Amino acid sequence: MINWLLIYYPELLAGIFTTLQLMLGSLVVGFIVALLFACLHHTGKKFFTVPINVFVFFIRSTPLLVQLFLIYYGAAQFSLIRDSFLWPLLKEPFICALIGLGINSAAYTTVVLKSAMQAIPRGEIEAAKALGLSPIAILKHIILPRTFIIIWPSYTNEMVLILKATALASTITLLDIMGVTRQLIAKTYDTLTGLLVAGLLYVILTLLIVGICHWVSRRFKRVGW
Amino acid sequence: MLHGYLPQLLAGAWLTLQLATNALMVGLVLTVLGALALNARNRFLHYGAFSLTTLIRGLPELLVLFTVYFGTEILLYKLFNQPVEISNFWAGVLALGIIFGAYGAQVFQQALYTIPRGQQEAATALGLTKWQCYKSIILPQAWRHALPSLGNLTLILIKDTALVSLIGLTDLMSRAQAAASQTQKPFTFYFAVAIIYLVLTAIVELGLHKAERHANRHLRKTP
Amino acid sequence: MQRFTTLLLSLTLSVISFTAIAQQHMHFATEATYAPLVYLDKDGKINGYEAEIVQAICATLKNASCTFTHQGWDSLVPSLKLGKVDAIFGGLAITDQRAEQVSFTQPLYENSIAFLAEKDKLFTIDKAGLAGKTIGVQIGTTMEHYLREHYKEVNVKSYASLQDALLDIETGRINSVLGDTPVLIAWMKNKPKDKFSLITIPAADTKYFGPGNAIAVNKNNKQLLEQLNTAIDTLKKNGTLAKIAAKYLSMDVVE
Repeated sequence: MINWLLIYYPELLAGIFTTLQLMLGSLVVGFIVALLFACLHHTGKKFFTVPINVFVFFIRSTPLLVQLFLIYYGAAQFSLIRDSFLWPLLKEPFICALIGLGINSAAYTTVVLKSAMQAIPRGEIEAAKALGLSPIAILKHIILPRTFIIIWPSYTNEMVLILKATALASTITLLDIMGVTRQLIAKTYDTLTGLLVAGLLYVILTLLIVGICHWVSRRFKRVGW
Repeated sequence: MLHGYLPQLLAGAWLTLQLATNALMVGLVLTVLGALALNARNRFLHYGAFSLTTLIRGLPELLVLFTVYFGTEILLYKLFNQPVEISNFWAGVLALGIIFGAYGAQVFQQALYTIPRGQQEAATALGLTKWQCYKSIILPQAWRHALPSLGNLTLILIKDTALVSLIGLTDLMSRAQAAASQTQKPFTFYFAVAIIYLVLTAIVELGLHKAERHANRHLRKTP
Repeated sequence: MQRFTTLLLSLTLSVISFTAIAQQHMHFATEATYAPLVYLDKDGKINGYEAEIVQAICATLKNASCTFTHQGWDSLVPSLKLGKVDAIFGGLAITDQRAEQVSFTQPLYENSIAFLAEKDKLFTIDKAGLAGKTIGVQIGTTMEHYLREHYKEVNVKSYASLQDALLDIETGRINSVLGDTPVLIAWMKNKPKDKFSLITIPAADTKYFGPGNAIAVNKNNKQLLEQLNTAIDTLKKNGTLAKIAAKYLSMDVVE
């Protein structure tokens, strides 16, 4: 196994880099979209809640693999897309994976944010209204900060789930850790070493993420939230 | 309809269904065994089960699938000193079952934990053996607590069945891939697959909802 | 709860396929997504040029029963090494690197490799012509190895299945696909005429692809190797190989 690491570390490092880029990118995209959706859903207006619920239901009820294939191969079927300005972006497997994982993360995070927002004591919001704060100010100073603290443990979970999900991007030719591993296995016919090394890399990354998240939680507590 | 590929897709869906049900059963068995191991007083069992379940939960499902697929043969080869044939199907069942079991064991262990020790002591006082106590008193109650999470894991299992197309099983996903490449209409077929999975998960969610109501029937207020 | 268990049990029992230890028949594995060499027909059975050759081989060996299974390309060699299957085939070229892992029979036919590209975007196969192009290949094939080793300025995109590469050239994601000529020709038949064309590889490069496609068996299975080679000789002598070739391939690639 050490042999493998010594010979193939450039490819593996490139793979790790791609995996991390994809993971962080998807989390950011997913969070921004989820924040928007959660706030819209919070208004309670059916115009927002119904499509958002349908979106979440569809994403949560279909496998990520199917979603990725739909975006990468499926979108390319339509000449409308191929001739548009989006094509240079959608041509790239990285962008397609980013969209796929981002949407997936958005769906799950929306639910988490929604329930966290509902968990904020109504009394605080009423007090803020009594003090004359505008709805946006209430959102900005009261609801959102409390929400982030509440969701942090679940979001840690979500980060690990997205890390694991990046492995599926290898099926649309992206050379992440899993993609590089499959290539190296095909080259060397050494299946077990390849899988072992890949497993080790994912375990290390997971431990790093969980460690960083715990450190952040402790910082929250120190600040007095 | 779907360029004549519907029968093939349905054949694939049937395989997916068979895969899911078998994996679920394997997973449930591993869940109970795993939870008991996690709760065991024997340190070796406890830490062994904890490390194993945490490890499996931390790895991508795709990696676990490949490892089980390629690794079981190597393991069996070393054990029996001759090649043992395990089909793709059972490798897939085993892999998905192991993934379910790893998550399920930790969920079920927490459920077991919520049941007051007093019940176990009372059972011993009444003369029940440990096995009878578990079977008639502890497990049914733990089952009720664990049902929502186990239900969630079941839905995840159903979605993970799409991965077995990557080890060459002719399930729904791989049939769609074949049809898509033959007709050059990937969107049509992958969307059809998405719809079929949607229907499948909706049915299972309905069933789970009913199961939860049934398990909690003693708690529902009657007018 | 009981009804639920019964339902689950009956669903389980309706499942087939647990095979016992080391049966007396021959188990051939292939990735059947490679028409016309080997593919799954409408009934889900494995058919094709090489499949028919293997069936003919089995008919020659008197008391052998053969089963075929379809599995992923990258699992073929590992399955063979582990003894999970007896033999593998299907666009499997003889190479020195593979010969270190498995034993090959004599070639069933000479392989022919070509680049597929759009007719108005053809290019020459040399360092200048290939520079900056993105070529799709199947992971773990001689085509992938050839491009990576000899034309380093090319962007090689490896797909789990050649069919995925073909999907991508249709949409213009990649400039070309490098694969077995019969497979590319069969694919082009379903496309509008004159949209795609083949570029043959330079004669000097054909040596990188080996003497041909063959069946591979486990290194320790010398008996099966002999049986298969004898059968192939028989089929060559009585003209069966040529007949099957004529049926499937528009060009004569049998030696």
